[in-house]
Amino acid sequence: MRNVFIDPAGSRPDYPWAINHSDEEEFGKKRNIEQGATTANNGFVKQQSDDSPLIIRVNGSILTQAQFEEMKAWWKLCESQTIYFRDFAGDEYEVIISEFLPTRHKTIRNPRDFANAPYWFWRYKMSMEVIRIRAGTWEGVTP
Amino acid sequence: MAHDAATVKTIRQRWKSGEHVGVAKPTMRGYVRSVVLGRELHRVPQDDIYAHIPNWQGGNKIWQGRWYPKSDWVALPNVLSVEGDQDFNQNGVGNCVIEIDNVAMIEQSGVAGVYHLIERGYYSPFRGTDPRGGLPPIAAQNEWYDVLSDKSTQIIIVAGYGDAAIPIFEGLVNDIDMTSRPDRITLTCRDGGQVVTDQRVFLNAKVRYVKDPITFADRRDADETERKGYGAEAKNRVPWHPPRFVLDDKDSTSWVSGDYNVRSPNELPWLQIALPHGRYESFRFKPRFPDLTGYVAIKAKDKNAPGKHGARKHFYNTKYKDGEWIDEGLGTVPGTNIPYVKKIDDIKGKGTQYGLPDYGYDLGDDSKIRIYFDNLDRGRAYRSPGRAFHAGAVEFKGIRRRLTAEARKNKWILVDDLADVVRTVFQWSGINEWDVETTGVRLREKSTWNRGNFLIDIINAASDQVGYAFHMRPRENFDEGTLTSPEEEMSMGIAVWRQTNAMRSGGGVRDAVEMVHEEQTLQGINAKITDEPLAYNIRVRGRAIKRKKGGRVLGGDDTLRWMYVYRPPWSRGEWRGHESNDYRNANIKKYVVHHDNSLKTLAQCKVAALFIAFREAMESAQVQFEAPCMPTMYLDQHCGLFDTGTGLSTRVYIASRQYSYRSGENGHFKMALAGSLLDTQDIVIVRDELTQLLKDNGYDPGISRGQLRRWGRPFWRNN
Repeated sequence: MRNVFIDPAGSRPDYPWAINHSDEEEFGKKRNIEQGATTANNGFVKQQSDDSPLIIRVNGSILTQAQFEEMKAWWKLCESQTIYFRDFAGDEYEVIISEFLPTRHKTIRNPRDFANAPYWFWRYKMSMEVIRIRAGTWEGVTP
Repeated sequence: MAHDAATVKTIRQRWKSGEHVGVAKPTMRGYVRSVVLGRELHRVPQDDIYAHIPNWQGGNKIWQGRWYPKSDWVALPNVLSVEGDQDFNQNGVGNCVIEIDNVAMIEQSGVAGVYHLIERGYYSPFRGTDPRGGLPPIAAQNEWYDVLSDKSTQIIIVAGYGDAAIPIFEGLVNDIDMTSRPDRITLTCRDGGQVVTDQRVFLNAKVRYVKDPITFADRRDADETERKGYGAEAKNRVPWHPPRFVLDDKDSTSWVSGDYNVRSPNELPWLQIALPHGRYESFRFKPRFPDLTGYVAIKAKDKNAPGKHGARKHFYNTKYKDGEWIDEGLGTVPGTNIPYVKKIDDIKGKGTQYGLPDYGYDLGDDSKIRIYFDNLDRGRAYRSPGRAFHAGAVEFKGIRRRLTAEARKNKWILVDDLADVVRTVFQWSGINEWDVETTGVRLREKSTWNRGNFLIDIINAASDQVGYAFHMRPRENFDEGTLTSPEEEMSMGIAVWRQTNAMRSGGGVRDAVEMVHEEQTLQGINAKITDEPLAYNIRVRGRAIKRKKGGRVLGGDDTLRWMYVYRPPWSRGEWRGHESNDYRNANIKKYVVHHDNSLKTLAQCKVAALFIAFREAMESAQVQFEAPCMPTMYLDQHCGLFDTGTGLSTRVYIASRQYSYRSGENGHFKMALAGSLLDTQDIVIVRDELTQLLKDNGYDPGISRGQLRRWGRPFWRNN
């Protein structure tokens, strides 16, 4: 099953990724608790602040210029609106792409897109800040 | 008003726990609304009139600044951080800097479901301005257009732990700084005290109908007085003691009522005089016998009454019918249906001036003032052998008052208590909630203010005279559930003007005293004891006066003046068991001489000297420390401080406070307090001596009546 980007506003057709991400980083919530040492030297004053946001961080490869252009277009769309991201497991989130960091790598031959990227392909890092959890294992948690 | 007790209790419990997590995690929320300060004449209850202006035609109306809400409250979104500070060195006016994320997520419905538009710069006040010069608009106006723009935006910050939160700041937006990437807005706000620090004594910022410069004066100093009365009558008398004797200015003659066989007869004896037209707010009475009880009744007549409006209550528009007994609602004289305007429970044995209700009456010719007597004196019977009960009087006259021509011409603003000056300034400026303590002190001399002065200058001058202090506090409760703005809700915070709590001890301390234990203090306590501000002795020189009245020269200054020399405890020796010549200052002669021509008596010079010493003592022992924020801790409060490392277990007088809140990573909610160590020996001694001195001089009703602690030797010398 492919990852899919969905534009809820309907300005772009859904985009099933040509290649899913290859691996992902930790995905979860971090609770911020500041520990302040007291002058009594007997422990800490604990002060909790807002939880860190839920951020999806994935890494992968892009083998075609077309896929790169799509990713770039979805990144750009996120400048003005949120989008939906449905992953290979069917979990779905309303997200903002907050990072899209592609790196070109040379190759002897790129058979997937010899016309547009004959001697290179891309590896990328992507971060998506979750605005809302639409479905999936994290449902019920404030992102 | 007071903080909601249950909310404060919850905040205190959570704050003390040191576990500010989960339901007790720090919270800080902001709300804004649009307001405008209107000024006009407002009719107010008599009790709300604190100053009177000669020939004022406004009746019960006063010149008052009132805030009017122009919108309902709205929650301030995306608050990232809040930092506030307040300090007596800044006139007690608090500042607050609030940083918000200037990006909004606007919910939309799309073909695939709900999503959010990311609107940068959404909360900017200029977003949506129709540009000139052919420039395209950034976006359409939204509900935040021109909201976070200027002083017309009132802001309130609510802080606490979990769901328990109270206002920590209330004021107006003064500056707005915006940055792009990150899109942030920084609001710099000052509390409601800016209405007195920013407005000058000019045009509408003061009472409009008195041109600048304005003059505050003691109401009594603005009057000429004369004792008046004629046509004395009485219900009855004994031989050789007719009522006319109360008007003859002789102590050897008197009126004595007829013989009564009970102390409280059913029909009380009375004495009455007629008054010529004029303004009367007191009368003079000297009894023949002590401990009488008196009921004072006044029959008002219209003829030639001041103001040509007939008899009426002075300053107010309450008019009386010709020949009517004035009824103040206090009841009627026992055994009659005549109302009384004043009851004197224990008439003093000596001649005394007794005030009439409020500011007295404007009376016409032949008005009558009558005293009914009860609790008669037992003595020799005049008409039969044996004993009998009597009332009697040596002197009874009305005191007619007339404004001096100067006060009338210059429209002096007349007050009875120094605190009334402050209250009146608050009313003009737009401060409508206050905690002002009556001083019991009259204006020492008239004070004139012109357009170069700010309103705070008037308040500071009053503070200097009695050692009071001004600061602002936010309103004590804010209903976050109902964000409507009713018309009558016109608070801009609470102005506090009162004797500083540094002068108080024990049960006399107002406000809760919070204990900051070392298990809560977060960072380096910095306590400092310094002799830098301490003088060897303090000489206060007042107005010039002749030698035979006590005038003294000083060194090369040959002018004879009132002078008082105070040797503070740190210059006395005999401390903590040391010998009397063990001066803690090594007997280094660091003199302080203070000149003030407005000091007219030796007592005033003494008070000034001790105030200076008290300030020096406060400055010599200071501490600052950091702890989790307790929102109910304000300026002018005591807090307990316990810290092993510095050996401090003492009360601290809070003279400066800062607080800081940040959300997200590295989030915190802290405060930094600074102030004086109240329980040092020097402060305790000087405070006690100053307290005693003020009491001895009849000043300062607010001072604690608790046990006076006195350490060391007698503390003043008149040399």
